[in-house]
Amino acid sequence: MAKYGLLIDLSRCIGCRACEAACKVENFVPPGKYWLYVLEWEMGEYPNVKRVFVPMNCMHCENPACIPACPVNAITKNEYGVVLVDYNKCIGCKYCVAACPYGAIDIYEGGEWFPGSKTPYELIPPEKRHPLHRFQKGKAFKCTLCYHRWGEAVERGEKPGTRPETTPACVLVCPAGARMFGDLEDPSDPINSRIAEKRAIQLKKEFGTRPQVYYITTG
Amino acid sequence: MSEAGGVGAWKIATAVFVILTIISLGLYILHPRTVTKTQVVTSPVTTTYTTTKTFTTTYTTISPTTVTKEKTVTSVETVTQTKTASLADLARMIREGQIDVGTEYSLEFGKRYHNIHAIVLGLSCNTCHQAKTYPADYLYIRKYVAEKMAEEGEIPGVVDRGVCLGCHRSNGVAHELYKAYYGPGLTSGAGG
Ligand code: HEC
Ligand code: HEC
Repeated sequence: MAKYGLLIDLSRCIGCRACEAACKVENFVPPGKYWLYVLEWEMGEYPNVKRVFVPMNCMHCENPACIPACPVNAITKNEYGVVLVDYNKCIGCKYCVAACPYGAIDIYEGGEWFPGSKTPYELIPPEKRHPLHRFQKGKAFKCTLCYHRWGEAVERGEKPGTRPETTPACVLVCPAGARMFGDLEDPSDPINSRIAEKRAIQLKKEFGTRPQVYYITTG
Repeated sequence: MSEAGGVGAWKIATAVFVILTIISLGLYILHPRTVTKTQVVTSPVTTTYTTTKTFTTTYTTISPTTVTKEKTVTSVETVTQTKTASLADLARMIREGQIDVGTEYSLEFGKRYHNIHAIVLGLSCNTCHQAKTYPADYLYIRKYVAEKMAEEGEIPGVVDRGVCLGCHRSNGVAHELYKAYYGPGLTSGAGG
């Protein structure tokens, strides 16, 4: 058993949205939709002002609200702690969209990315894509923690996140080193000491979802 | 003679009639009876339950012979009452399929999700759809599309998922979506 998750250091995040872009490119996320979104707002009054950036993606909760909400059991949490949608089972009822307190799930609406022509990217046929990227119109899709990048490695017994090829795209591209990926159940994984040391928090704990994405809020 | 005999027969007949009337009236008054009362409380949705109640009624009768009689009659009655269903009753009835909320699982207005929340439970739209935009610090990824939908009128407003917590937490009235526990509270089965 393992439980993979992320640690996001908000004191380091500079709001460049590289993670957002990398996620879209890596995962064929169409225009207007995001699996990872950087929330941004301003605080205070001049001259005492501050901008806050909060990158958010699926929290891969230990107690996900989307799973009991799904009437057809299309959402599962695998043995590595990753919550995934089965596009073949999904009926597009959007109950998971309604239930998720983090707004992590959206509906794939198909259509052309840019009207008039298909991008080379869209021309890659579904059968040449990883099953997690074979979206279906009108059905739910969301962040997979880049399971397609490290799923095979972990099956072979390799520890994911130790090579760039087995690390989630958002973590790889962060220029500020604000993102960290690791096994929350492995005491020797540096992610855990960092969570403890920085007293990292989980978002919206009141829902009892127990997210596997932690946030460092102080420097 | 024959006339006098006829008058006598009339008198006897009248007396018998009066006596029979008094006896039957008495029997009627003293007889314990079973009355079925149906008390209907109007409400959008109601539940029906049956209870046995003991009624004590005092009858005061003025008999044709001007004697005042008082008699206490105790009768056991089966009463079918209809009462306003509580939230827990409704939740149970929806789960058990006793209330028709449609068969199509969908968030679309007019299908199961809104039939349950907006029609059967009677929650007004703005209980959930509160504003056109979320507060700046509301930590919600789908903000980008939910706000656009609200502005374009596809939905009456954005929904803060905190609204769902009260009913869908552990031990809440509705099925558990959030494993959040705040003490005993209501249990899904609680009636009354
Ligand atoms: C229990 C809370 C709740 C109540 C009450 C409620 N809604 Fe909704 N409704 C939602 C949620 C959650 C969504 C999904 C919103 C989103 O996309 O973020 C939604 C979506 C919708 C949509 C879009 C459906 C779609 O196809 O995506 C419409 C239209 C709508 N509501 C209308 C109404 C109206 C009209 C009422 C009042 C009669 C109402 N709602 C009452 C929770 C509620
Ligand atoms: C006033 C209490 C209440 C609130 C608030 C509420 N619900 Fe419900 N919900 C219910 C009840 C009752 C049912 C039906 C019985 C059950 O499923 O336990 C239900 C059913 C559901 C269902 C299953 C629908 C079906 O087709 O069977 C989903 C999904 C759901 N609610 C999600 C939500 C979400 C998301 C919110 C917040 C936007 C919410 N509910 C707010 C009481 C509530």
